[in-house]
Amino acid sequence: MKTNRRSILFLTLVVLIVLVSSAGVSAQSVTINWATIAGFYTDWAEQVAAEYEAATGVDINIIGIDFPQLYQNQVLESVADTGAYDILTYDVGWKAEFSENGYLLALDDLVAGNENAQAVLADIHPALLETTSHWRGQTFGLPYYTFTMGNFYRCDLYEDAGEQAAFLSRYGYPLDFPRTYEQMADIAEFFRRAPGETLKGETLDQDFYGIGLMAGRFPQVQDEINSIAWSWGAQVINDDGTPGTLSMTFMSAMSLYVNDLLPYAPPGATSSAFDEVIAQLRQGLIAQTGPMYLDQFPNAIKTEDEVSGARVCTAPTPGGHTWVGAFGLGVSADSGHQSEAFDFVAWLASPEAQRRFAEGGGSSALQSILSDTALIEANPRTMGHYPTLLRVLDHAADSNFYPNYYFVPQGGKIYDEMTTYYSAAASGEQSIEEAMTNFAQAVERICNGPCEVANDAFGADYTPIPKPFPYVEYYGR
Amino acid sequence: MANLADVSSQVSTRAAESAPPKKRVLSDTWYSVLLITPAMIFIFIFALFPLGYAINVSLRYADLTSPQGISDYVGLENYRFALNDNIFWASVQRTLTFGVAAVAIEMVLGIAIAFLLNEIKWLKGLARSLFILPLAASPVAVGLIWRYMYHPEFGVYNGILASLGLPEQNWLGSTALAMPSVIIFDVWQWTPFVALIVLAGLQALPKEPFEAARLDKASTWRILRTLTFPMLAPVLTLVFVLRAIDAVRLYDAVFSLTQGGPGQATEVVTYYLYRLGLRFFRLDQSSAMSLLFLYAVVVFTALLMRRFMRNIAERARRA
Repeated sequence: MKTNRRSILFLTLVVLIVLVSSAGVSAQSVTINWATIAGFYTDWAEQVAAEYEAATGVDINIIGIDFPQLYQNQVLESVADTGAYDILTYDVGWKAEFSENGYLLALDDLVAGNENAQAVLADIHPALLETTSHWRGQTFGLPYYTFTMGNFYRCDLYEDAGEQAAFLSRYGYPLDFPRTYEQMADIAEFFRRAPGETLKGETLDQDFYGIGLMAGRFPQVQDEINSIAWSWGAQVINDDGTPGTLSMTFMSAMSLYVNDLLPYAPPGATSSAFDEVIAQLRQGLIAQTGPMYLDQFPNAIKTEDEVSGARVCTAPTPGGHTWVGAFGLGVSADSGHQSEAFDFVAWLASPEAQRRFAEGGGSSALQSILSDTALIEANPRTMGHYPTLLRVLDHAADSNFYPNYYFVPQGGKIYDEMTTYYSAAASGEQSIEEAMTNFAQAVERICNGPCEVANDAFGADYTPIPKPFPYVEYYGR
Repeated sequence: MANLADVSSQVSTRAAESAPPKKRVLSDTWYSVLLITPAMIFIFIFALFPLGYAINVSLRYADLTSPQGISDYVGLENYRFALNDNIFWASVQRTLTFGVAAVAIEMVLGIAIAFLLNEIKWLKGLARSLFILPLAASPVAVGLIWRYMYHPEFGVYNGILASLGLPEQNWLGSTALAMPSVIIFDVWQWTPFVALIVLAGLQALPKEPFEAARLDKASTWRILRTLTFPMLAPVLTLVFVLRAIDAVRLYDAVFSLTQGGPGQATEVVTYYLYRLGLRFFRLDQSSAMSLLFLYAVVVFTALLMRRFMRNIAERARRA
């Protein structure tokens, strides 16, 4: 009996010691909760985060959230001041809203005291810094992943002598990647082939389409259509904050998309997202994409393995003005560990982590990585799109052209409405004029009148007229 | 007789004296209250309090992303907005279209399948197990699988149509076909529910009236019309009400299959309320619309259930 009692006492003592010591450990260690997108965009970060933990002793808890829920989860936690997330991940369209509403911490003081962060900021491409980091002259986050748009095309088809001759004879100019959206429409029409017709001299046993488009009600259709509108000088939100989609230029851009591109896309385009377009490319169903996220290159290049004789090349979108942006990482204003959270953000955006990211198939935001030719040559299947990506970013920075809706505090909501009404026009559920009118009314409702446009690019050198892309210096991949 | 009465009185007095002292026990009323208190607390916390909160928010200005957050009372302004919001009413119309079509098909198919299952002699258990599978699956997960099955280029349905020489369809991308495609998905998922409940009802029916009808050489149609369906009516009403309520709450299938598209072709009420409340954070307007919708559903359910509840009450009285 005595032995039993002693055993129980001993065991109780051991449990108490373990509990007390573990409580001591947890009180000493810092855990940073990072709300981010589940899947590829952060899978790579698991390993680098583990290394960061080993080096610093700071625990990184990656909270993967599906993209559609990411916005609402972060807003709800921020509004309720829960401090559940130390690091927020945001899309370009949400930056103004998160910064304006105080969800994100202004990082300027933390940057001033961190030499590594200063070096990272100097290295981030200026176009991404403007779109992703800056708000009202302050820095609210660092971009870590860019999905700026370009154009994927089947260069094996474009370079085929027979196809080139046929195209020249039909359209009167040589077949090459499109410099204008009218050319993109010509190419789309030219490559639309029915079963029994030939492609590259071979008889087709299935339909072949001139273009792949992501015209479904997913948050990508607007990036395609806006690219056309921006290149033609139209804006979603005008400089005075009124909706720009009712302008003739904008509606013409929409008309080209609906009437001159969509008819040559696979019928599933009106329910497609970006991944389905890439799947169409990989299955050898399409000759080119419309404006498409260049970060998809590691997936697009697999076409070469899966379609006999196929080669995939990249080019800037026609006109050069397109969706330029990135996922940004910022420190939550409610975080109890703001300094530690910022240190991790700065480290994740650093060349060391970004190099690992790029090798794994990510699209870095750093100029030093984007222009590292040796690294690119060593990783042609994950970084082959970098030269095109860099040119698109350079053009955005050179022309100082940043879409106004990036700088509207209600940008996230406007982005959501774009998906609805652009998809309505693309699917024919509403006429172009009806859809754009409805969208304009929705924007005015969201902003309670004209939106406030706090575009830092406004100034003496700002011009809303798009600057033509210098194609003479660019010949594609 | 007098002696007997005395003896009886003495016995009862002694019995009363020797019995243990009577304990104070709860009355039936308080005992009932005690039993339902935990459930009532649960209902108050998880149903009535949120309902009260929603009513409160619906009478205020509440935009979570604005600096004001949840602020001043605005009276019935949000209800006025809801009643004048064309998008809301269009989504109500789509919800009703979906609900009527999906529930009608599910009821007809479910009842037919239940009759078939009731008649088969072998593998009844296996068939029942297979029928449970769609119910057990997560709507979002199977919705994503169905999205690919519907895909015009890669999907199995167009593969089947093509192999039959029929024209391929743009299931989810056509404004004409998107809603029927969502209905087909819902029918696939929920018809087994109807079938299993009706089957249970069929198997619980007494055999005697049917044997008597057969002896009287009543036709199958007459047996169905005068015996089977009237006796199944409570079960059919219940399953209809459950399906109807569930159908108007449609969200998962729309979220995973179409996201409300193309355009707004499949944007039903719950999806619109989700966008308004959790994408635009207009809790005031979405609360007002939710309450209007809740009111409509409660009235509809009450009307349907009135006779059903009356029958149950009648039976309880008889018992």
